[in-house]
Amino acid sequence: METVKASATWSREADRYTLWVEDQAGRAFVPEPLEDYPLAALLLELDEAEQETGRIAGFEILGFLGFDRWDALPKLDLLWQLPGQEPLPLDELLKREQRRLRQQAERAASLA
Amino acid sequence: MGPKSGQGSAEPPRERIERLVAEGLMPWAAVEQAERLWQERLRHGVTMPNGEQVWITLDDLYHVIVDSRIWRHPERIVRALESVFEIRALEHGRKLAFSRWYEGERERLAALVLYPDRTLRTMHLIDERRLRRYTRKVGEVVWRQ
Repeated sequence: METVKASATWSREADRYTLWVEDQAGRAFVPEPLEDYPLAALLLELDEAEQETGRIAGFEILGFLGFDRWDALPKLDLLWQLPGQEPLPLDELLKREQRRLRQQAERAASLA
Repeated sequence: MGPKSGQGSAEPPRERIERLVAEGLMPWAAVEQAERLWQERLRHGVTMPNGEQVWITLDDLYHVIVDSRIWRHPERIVRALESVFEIRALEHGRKLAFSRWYEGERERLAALVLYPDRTLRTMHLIDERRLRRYTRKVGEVVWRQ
């Protein structure tokens, strides 16, 4: 299974988590939204002529902290590797990051 | 170069933009152009054809301009908001809006996610096939031009 080096962005206010494939950074992309959850989409790379290259540019999900439709995620023959971490399938990586960000949000709420 | 591993697993959008610029993947002039547009237009709100005004935060601007088709033409954010033709309701008061406009002969389509506080949280340029995919199953139409 192919492993891609990835980075992630997170916005608490927007509840938006995005994984970016580093090799496709700065390029154009088009979303392939999940069937029943249009707030999440696989981002597919486009070339200069705006044609799909067949490569994945990332994955974006809004409403991330409450997301539970794991069965709606695309089944990809791909592992995502964040810096300093082990490569994981999309669902496992998102579940781990959701747990981490939920804990972070709970800590912030308890301090407020 | 890549993101730093010691800073947690996710960057704020602004940090990623700065990194892409440092890596030569995006020109700083494009970021400045988008920030200028935000100062002059977007932070004051853009009125959609249904009369509703929508804002975009700087954080969300840095997220949206990562697509090269938007950092090369940040004015497309304004065009997309001003050209909304349909809005659908999603859970938790969120909305999915679709817009269509022309650049010369070329038709452009966009999908926009709006939150209940009337902020634009993401925007993507799409094609007819994606428009059909977005609208096939989801959301009650709450406004249509």
